[in-house]
Amino acid sequence: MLVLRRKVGEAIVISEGIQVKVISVQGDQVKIGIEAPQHVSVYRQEIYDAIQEENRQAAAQQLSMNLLQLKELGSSFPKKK
Amino acid sequence: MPLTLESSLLGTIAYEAGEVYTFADGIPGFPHLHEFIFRKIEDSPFTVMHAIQEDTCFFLIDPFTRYADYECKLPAFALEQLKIESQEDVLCYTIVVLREPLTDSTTNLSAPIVLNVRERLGMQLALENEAYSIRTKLFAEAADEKVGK
Repeated sequence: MLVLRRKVGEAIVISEGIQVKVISVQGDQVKIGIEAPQHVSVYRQEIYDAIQEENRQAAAQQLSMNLLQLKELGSSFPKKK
Repeated sequence: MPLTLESSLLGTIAYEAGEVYTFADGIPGFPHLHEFIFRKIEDSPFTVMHAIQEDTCFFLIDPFTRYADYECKLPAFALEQLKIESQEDVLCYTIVVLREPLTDSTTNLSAPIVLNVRERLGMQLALENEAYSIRTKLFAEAADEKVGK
């Protein structure tokens, strides 16, 4: 891993068009500003990890399902709250 | 001529090249899957999102019919990535995780699958909305009853 020391207001450029800037530091919290082209997705790591884990579970469990079970489940599906 | 793919869930699926949705980045956990087709399961609230490249699929629901107050606000980068020009071009689903017992099944309201039906582009979008859980119960009423007993 590349480790760089930055001061508040300083930035890092990652390839063309991606800039990561340290906005402020308070205690153990760092506020970071990210400029990236619109086609680049930016996630908080823990949110990305959680989505990834849910997706993996969602894909795995369909192996043990069949259409009949799915329809049965659907018939007991509640409508709008 | 229709194309076909083999699915362990749906059997042989015939599809047209024009109905394939492209996901430029795949989805988290499946960055290698860039092409999907969608099939509504008759007599059920589910739609299946099936990968073209391999036998992988996901169950989806329409969150708006299940959760009346659900909102899917698209940020500028999503509009750009999906080339969305009109709200009429947009379809939104959420991925379901079936659990044991089935009444514990959940759906990921915080990261919907967003589609541009005109351009046939899709993405999984992380909404910056803390009100939506990644594991929202599908059968909330049933779960509430249990808690009460």
